[in-house]
Amino acid sequence: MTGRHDDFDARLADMFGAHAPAPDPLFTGRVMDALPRPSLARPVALTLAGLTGALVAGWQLPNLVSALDAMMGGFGGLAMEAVGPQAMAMGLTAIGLAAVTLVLTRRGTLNI
Amino acid sequence: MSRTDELLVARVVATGDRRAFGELVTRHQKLVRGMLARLTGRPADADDLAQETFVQAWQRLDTYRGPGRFKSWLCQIAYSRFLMSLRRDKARNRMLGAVRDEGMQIEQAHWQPGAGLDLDRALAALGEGERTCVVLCYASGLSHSEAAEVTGLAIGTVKSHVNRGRAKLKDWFDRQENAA
Repeated sequence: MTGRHDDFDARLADMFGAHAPAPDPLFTGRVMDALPRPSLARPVALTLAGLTGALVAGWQLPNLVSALDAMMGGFGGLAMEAVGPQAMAMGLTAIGLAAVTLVLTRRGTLNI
Repeated sequence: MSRTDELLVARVVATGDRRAFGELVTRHQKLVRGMLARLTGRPADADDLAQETFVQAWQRLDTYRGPGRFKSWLCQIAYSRFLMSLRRDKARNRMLGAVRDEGMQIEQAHWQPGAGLDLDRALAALGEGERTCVVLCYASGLSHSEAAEVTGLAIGTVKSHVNRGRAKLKDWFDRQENAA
């Protein structure tokens, strides 16, 4: 409280303090009992969705890996011939760093 | 070292830690219950409202934004619960036909001084706005600007309510002492 200017203010504050209810652990207990319990639906749904995703991924993974392998074999060979392995590694590193910088900037954790 | 309110709030928001919230309740229950007891004049009702206040605070904790003090945020919720209870009582009284005089002020219909407490009897002599501002500033220890934020009143209005209320209380206690 601002602007306290004489003894009466102190007396008033003391009176309010003296008539304030004493801390009551039972009150805290009642409040804690009254708090809504977290719903189980959300974690259950997320777990089920995760398991389903893992099953589908596990089932399709061999096909995906072989397809990617075939694609990378073709493209990788062409790229290697055109720019050389060192330049290609530097390019990939630069793209990775640019992506990280973009994410950090957008999240507000990097000021540039 | 005791954790600050802000740390406890962050913990509750991030992990739903009920024990951290329990610490906040223990820490601030005296303030909220005291404020509501003086505003309602009825300690039992005040405890019910205080419980509702903390449950609502739990549900809305993610809306708390510093750097304002946690206690004034809590007082804001408590004050809105108090106003809702006034409206509820008024509607119930109207339904029961208990309020005959339509011009009757809400506070006159609701507020009852606590038995035997000089302070409550003195507070009964104040208008609703004066009582609210005096309680927020003296009982809850809020600054004028925090009280203005809690009540939604202009800071100048809060200051004049506090000054007028304080003068009335001083007058009331002086008269009591002279009469004794």
